[in-house]
Order: sequence, then structure tokens, then C-alpha cells
Amino acid sequence: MKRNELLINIFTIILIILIAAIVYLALTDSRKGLTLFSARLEDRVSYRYLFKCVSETDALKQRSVRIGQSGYENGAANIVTAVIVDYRLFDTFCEVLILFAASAGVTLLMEKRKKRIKKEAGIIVQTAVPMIMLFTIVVAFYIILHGHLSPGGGFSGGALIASAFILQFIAFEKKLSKRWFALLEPLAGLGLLAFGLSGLYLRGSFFANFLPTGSLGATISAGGIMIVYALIGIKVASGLSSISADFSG
Amino acid sequence: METFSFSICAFSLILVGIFGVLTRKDIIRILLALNILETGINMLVAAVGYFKGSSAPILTSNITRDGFLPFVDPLPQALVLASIVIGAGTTAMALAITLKHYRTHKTEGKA
Amino acid sequence: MTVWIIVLGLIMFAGSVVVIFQKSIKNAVITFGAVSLVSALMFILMKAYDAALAEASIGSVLTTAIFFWTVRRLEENGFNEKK
Repeated sequence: MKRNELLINIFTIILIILIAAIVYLALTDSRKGLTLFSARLEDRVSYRYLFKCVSETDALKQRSVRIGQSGYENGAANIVTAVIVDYRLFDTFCEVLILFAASAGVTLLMEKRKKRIKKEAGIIVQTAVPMIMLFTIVVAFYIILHGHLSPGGGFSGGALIASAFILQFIAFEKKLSKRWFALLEPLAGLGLLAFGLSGLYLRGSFFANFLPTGSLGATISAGGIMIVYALIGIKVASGLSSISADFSG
Repeated sequence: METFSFSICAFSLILVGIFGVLTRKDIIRILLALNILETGINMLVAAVGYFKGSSAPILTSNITRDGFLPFVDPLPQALVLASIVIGAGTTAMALAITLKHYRTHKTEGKA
Repeated sequence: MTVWIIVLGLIMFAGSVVVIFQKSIKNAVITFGAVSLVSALMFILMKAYDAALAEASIGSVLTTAIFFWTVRRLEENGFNEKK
């Protein structure tokens, strides 16, 4: 057994040295064709995302993008949000479905704890946790609703709400009921599906952005991006909170 | 130069993660090593989109075609943001399967 | 800039080595949370602010808490890491 372990270690170290050598040769290769780290932004797909003219037939006709003007393909100032919620929304929808599958599987596999070691948190923690939860949830709502103007969005804000509920699960023995999370998560998923189907009915393509885009940089702009990000935030928050409620007790 | 150092850091994390997955014995340690590997891969994908001297892809002033475009690539960041949330879900699922496995076959106090 | 990248990368490398070779599982989980937090700083250096926010709230809070709860449940069912 001992000798076998030594052999496994030596073999793994040799394998890792081989992988490191191959990767170093690939990174420092200077022949033509390997432009992974030396490409310009003009050669990539993201150039079209920056100028907001992906679906036009005469591509890249537009000369400039200006804050305060209207009439673009989508009105999000944060381009990562534009990529996630508008251009690649189908991808994001399937990813949220994977999160739903994970939380359903955890609920299926977990049982209630039988032999529990009772340990309540101290009085300082129990006094401080509700105030911290309040501030965390307010910041999370700000992050979710300003996803099209500043960094953040549904995923980060939903995870922040879930971490606030994790604080509650750590500090108190009496837990919140899991029924609300189990009710909210499929409802948000159905809302996303309804948004996609209404886009199919009104504009002719699944998940089309059918609301008016508004002027670039305004608070209420960018069409359906605020609605979709709010739905994604509810879904991520309830899914991760349901997972942590299952694990904690 | 910055892109090269970013990718070297990411690859060091990936190699340590592969070593941990291949040599550790208990399942919890293997899952920790798998999470380290995932962090390294996320950093590598984000490092592909980095350009030197450019700013975050948030429009604050007007951009024109002829002038210099001072933005990093937004597409790898979107992929990384999706991948982080998926990683949390799959880790939770793997831990639930670990608990179930431990409850059915008790493996002499080891996990 | 390059100096900061190298310093943060060395911290992350040392932390991940500690995670793998640490004896106690709870210490390993805490060190993994620290590695996640430093990787969020690395994302900020890469100008990927959205990914940094998500990594700071998911990688260093949620994953660490889930690992801890799993270790607690294992201990309640007779798991002992000294063996």
C-alpha cells in the first residue's frame, strides 16, 4: 500500500511536468496562427457587441456610440450585461435551468438531521445578524436593479441575498421555511419562459427584446433587461438559499 | 506581459488542482482540489480577454470607430460569470452525493 | 502592475498547496475561502468587475459554508478525521 502511494505520487509529478512543458511551449510560440494572446479587439466578435450592431445586414455601418442617444439595438451601458441578458440570453436561460436541476437534486438527496449537536450562537451574533442582513439585502437590490448601468446584476445580487440568508441559518436554530424558496424558483423560471414566448409572438424570434430600448445611460432604459435580470436574481437567490437551507438542517 | 503573467498564475492553479485530484484519498479534499482547478480555469478564460492599458467594458463616454478602443473583451467575462454560478451548483450536488454515499456505506470513519 | 500580479499569484499558489497538504479538513476549507477571495482581487486587476463580484459572494461565502455544513453532518454520523 505504501509503495503504491509513492508510485502514484511520482507518476503524477511526471505528468504535471509534462503538461507544464507543453503549455509553456504553446504560450511562447511565436509562429503565425497562434494569436490567442496577441489578437486585437477588432478581429474578435466582441467588436460588434461594442458597437451594438450585430444583427444588421450591412454590418458595422455605425460609426460611433454615444451616451444619451437612443435607437441602438439594446440600451445597456454595461456591455457584459448586454452580452449575458440580450445577445446570449438562450445560453443564460439553460444555465439557470442547470441551477434549478442542482437545487432539486440536493432537495431530493438530503434528509433531516437526526443526531444533532446543539450549538446556538452567542448573543452578540444573534443581535448583530438581523441588522447586517438588512443592509446586505438593500445593497443586493441596488446591484440587481442597476445591472445595466454598473457592474453586477442578477447573478451577483442573487448570491448576495443568498449569503444574507446563510447568515440567518448560521445564527439561529429556528430556520425560515423552505416553502417560499421552492415556490419562488419555478415561478421565476416560468416568467423567463413567458418573456421568451412573448418575444417569439411579437417579434418572431425567441427571447427577442420587444420593449423600447430608451436612451443609452438612463435609469429606465434597455427594454426588457431590467425585467429579465430581476427574474434571474429571484431565481438565483431562491435556488442558492434552498440549497443552503437543505445543507444546514 | 501582463497577460502572460495572468496566464502563468492561472496555469499554476490548474496544475496544483490536477495534482490534488489525482493523489488525494478523501472525497472532501478531492472536491476542494476540483474547486481550485475551476478557479484557475476561470482566471485563464478571463485573462484571454485582457488587453494592456484598457478599461472595463462599461460605456461612460462616446466611442468612435477611428479612435482607439479602450475596452477589454466583454465576452470571456460573461462566460466566466455564468461558469462561477454553475460551479457552486455542481459543488453542492457533489457534496450531497458524498453525504448519501457515506450514510449508506460507512467507510470506517473516513469520507 | 506586474509586481502586484506576481505577488497575488504567489499567495494563491501557496494557499492552494496548503489546501491540498493540510491535515485538518476545517483548516483546508478556510484556506480555500481565502484563495477564492484573492482570486476576486485578481479579477479586479483583470478589469472583470462582474466576475469579481460574483466570485467574492459565491466562492468565498457560499461554497465555504456548504463545505462546513457537510463536515458537520459527517461528524454527526460518526466521521472522525483523526483516524
